[in-house]
Amino acid sequence: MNSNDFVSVNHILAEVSMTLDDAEYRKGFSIGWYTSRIQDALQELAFDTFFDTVTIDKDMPKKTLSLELPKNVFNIREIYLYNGSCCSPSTSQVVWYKRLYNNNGKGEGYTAKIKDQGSTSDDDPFLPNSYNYNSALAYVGNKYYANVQNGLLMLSSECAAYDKVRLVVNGMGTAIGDTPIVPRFFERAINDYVEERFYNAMKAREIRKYRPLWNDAFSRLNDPREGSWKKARLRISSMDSWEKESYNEYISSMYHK
Amino acid sequence: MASYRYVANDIRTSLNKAFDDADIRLIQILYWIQVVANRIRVSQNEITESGLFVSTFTSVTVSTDTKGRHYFDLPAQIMDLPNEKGVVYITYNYETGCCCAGANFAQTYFQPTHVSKLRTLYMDEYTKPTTSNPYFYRIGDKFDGVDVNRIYLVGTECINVTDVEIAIRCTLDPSSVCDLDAQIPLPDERIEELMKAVLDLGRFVMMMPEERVNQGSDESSPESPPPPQVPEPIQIQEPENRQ
Repeated sequence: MNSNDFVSVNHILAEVSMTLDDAEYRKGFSIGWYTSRIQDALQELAFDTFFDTVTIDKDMPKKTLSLELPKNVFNIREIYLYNGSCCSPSTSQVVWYKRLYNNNGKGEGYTAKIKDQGSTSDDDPFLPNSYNYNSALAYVGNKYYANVQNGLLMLSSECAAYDKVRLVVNGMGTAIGDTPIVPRFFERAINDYVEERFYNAMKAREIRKYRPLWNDAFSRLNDPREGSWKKARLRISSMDSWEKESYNEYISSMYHK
Repeated sequence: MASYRYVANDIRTSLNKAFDDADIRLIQILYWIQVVANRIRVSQNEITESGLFVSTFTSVTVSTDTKGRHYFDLPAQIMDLPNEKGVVYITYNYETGCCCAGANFAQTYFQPTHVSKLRTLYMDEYTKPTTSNPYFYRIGDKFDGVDVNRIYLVGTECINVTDVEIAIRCTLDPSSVCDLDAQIPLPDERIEELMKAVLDLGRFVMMMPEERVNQGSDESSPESPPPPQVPEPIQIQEPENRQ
């Protein structure tokens, strides 16, 4: 589900610190420690649910044909090339994944287990990027592909025809050091996560007292049916009713209209 | 609340009934009262965690030591409680003027740490000491061989802090009671405990010389052991969930 509603770190801290009887922050954990756990929780949720989708526009590195992936992102969802400015892309092009493509960040020369012939009249081994159709070769045209190795996005030589690269990627929640912004769907899960981390740390001090408390907190967070983590994952991954209705319309209209 | 005069005279009268030839001075009883009251105050604070023993100082001058570190001298001795709970808050002496956000100590305040934990704090971007996330630690014994009772500020190295506002949980100075008619700074319900404990202390002190004298005779008998000469100490009520 989509929303644009967030809760502040202070809102989470206010509940967590009271629940843990640490409103004075005098149990050996600073406010920064709690904030760091909130960031952890968001990061884990980002890895588990892909809730954080980010669009990043970069200039095309025409010389090296390679880009370092930005910090604080993972999982490339889409790559586009375009001309014009980032506010108003004019012509645009999808970039596809090519297995084992490797220019080592150095430009046009590359290695790959299966190389293309370097001609715009070749059979496009991926998907039709061009609408030129040759009856013998099917779709032909420029080939726009890329691969990633060690955080380096390597683009094919024909991508240089465009000025900009647009990456749609998943973010890792909040960059380390930034103030976390918590989607409201996750409020319960994040409270429970911080609570679990707190008791986990306290176990090292007094295991007899804190192990049962940690156990309760762990169950509240990770129960496979009622746990707040599970609920958070379900909430964020479920479709909006609008989307669902639309899908229903499309599917029901396919063969019956 | 009971005054020092009332309680001290009452205790002296009681002690004189048991040890009529003892030369117990009022100043000595006052000293005992302060010693015992300090212990009861810590105990009471742990039970209630109220603001009864909190004192505030609106402007405490911050100095810089020979290493360039910011510190201030504590204006009074504080209770030595876990995680520096003896210091209730330290905050910049700067009112933001934002009435909606509360007093300045409700906004940015210095968090307690220990000098040995600072290194770890610098390892995490969120716990790292900064002007908006400042810490304090206490040096309560010596600085270069000189007795000190200091609070050091961390995270303020890049700014000039002239003074801070603080609140502390003070202890009583056992060596000085300026006004006999002042109220003993304890809740009423614990005055009885104070009196018992001071009487106990007095009785203990009176017994000590007798214990030190070797009379050369065997006072024990096989049938009944000699009665204890030192009274059992009175147990001061302790909180159940001590943190």
